[in-house]
Amino acid sequence: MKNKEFLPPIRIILLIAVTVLLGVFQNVFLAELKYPVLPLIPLTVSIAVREKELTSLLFGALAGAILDLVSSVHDGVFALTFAVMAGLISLLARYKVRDTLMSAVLMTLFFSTIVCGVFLVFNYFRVGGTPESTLRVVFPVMLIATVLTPVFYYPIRFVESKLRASE
Amino acid sequence: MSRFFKSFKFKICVVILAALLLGVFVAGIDPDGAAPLSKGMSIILKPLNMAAEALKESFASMQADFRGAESYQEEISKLQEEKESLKEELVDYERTKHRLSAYEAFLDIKAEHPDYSFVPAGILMRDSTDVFLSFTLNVGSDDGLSLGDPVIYGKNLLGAVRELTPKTAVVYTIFHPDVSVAAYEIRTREDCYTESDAATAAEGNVRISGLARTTPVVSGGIVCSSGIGGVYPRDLYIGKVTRVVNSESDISAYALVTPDVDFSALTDVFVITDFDGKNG
Repeated sequence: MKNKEFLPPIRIILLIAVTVLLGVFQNVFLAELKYPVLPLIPLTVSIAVREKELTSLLFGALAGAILDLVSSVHDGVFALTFAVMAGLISLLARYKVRDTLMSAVLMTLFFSTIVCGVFLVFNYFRVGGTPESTLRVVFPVMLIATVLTPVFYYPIRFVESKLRASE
Repeated sequence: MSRFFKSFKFKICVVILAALLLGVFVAGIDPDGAAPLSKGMSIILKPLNMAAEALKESFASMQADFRGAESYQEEISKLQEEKESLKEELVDYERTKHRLSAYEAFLDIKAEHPDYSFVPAGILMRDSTDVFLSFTLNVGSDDGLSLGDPVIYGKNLLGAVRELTPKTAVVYTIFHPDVSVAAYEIRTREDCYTESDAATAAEGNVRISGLARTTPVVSGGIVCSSGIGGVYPRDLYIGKVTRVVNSESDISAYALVTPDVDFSALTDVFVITDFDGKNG
């Protein structure tokens, strides 16, 4: 079924709730872990491959802003990065690639690489990093985000198909 | 795809991205160092963050109960109830003891320095990607904080407020390269300053530079803030010298200093909002 021009309120509320709750969970609970885990990345990708460009961009900005709240990198940078990436992924998913798990996984890898690149530019290149510290942050972020993609991709696809069927 | 780029929605996307980019620039020039979106989000999400923090604490106590129940399962129910209740009290006691030790140290420093103005704060969130151990406090500009305010635990200097929203504040620790503290070694009285980089921070050290190659500073020496410049108050404890190293690039030397505080275990801190000799 073709997307309507505007999202129904139930889907907006659900998406906002999931993004905000996951963001708070990430900032408060997952920050205690030894390696950085950023589930907002696969969530944003999973939303972006299913939704239209503008919606994806707005949810990307929301997820990025939540990450910005705790980030010492540079304020507002992640909101911008997430918004651009979500919009781009949504565009690719709509016109260039098929909506499959493999596409979502590859795009998560692409997305997390860009986020890590931004992190490197603002944190390590500016203050002088080491290969060890880079390995400690960058690879866990990329690997864990990629592995977590199915956890978000399938439930979002399932819920969305149910909601669309009921519309 | 070209149809999208010609559509009205694309123009809206560009406007949103431009607004976000503007937010980054505003954060760069804003004295609080925070983007407008971050300020708004901090206000909206503060209750949720505090609820999550409370939930985390209750999870910790539930975990203790679960472990205890395993070992007590063969005992009669009355004894078990009694033990469970005692255990709950113990968790409360440990938490209170932890908080009390922070307040005791605070009282000491308050008695020594009546000129200090304090704001008590709890650690709300941490940046897990940051090797410099920066953290976010549950107080902000609405509570009287301003950028650059020193953050302490007891007499230990932890860092300074570097990003500020009305309800939260991001603290860069003394491990962060953007935080440099004028310091001195208490035995030799040699002036120096702290600096750091990712490698030094990863080892849990800060570097004190500006020492002469013939410096009498040795391992075990205690380094405190000197108060020069009026950014940090004098005599806040920074750490203990663990090693003195001759610089390879010039004729000076530097020492590696290890703070006594376990930054990752902190829950309550104090922000010094004013003190005698504060710059500006």
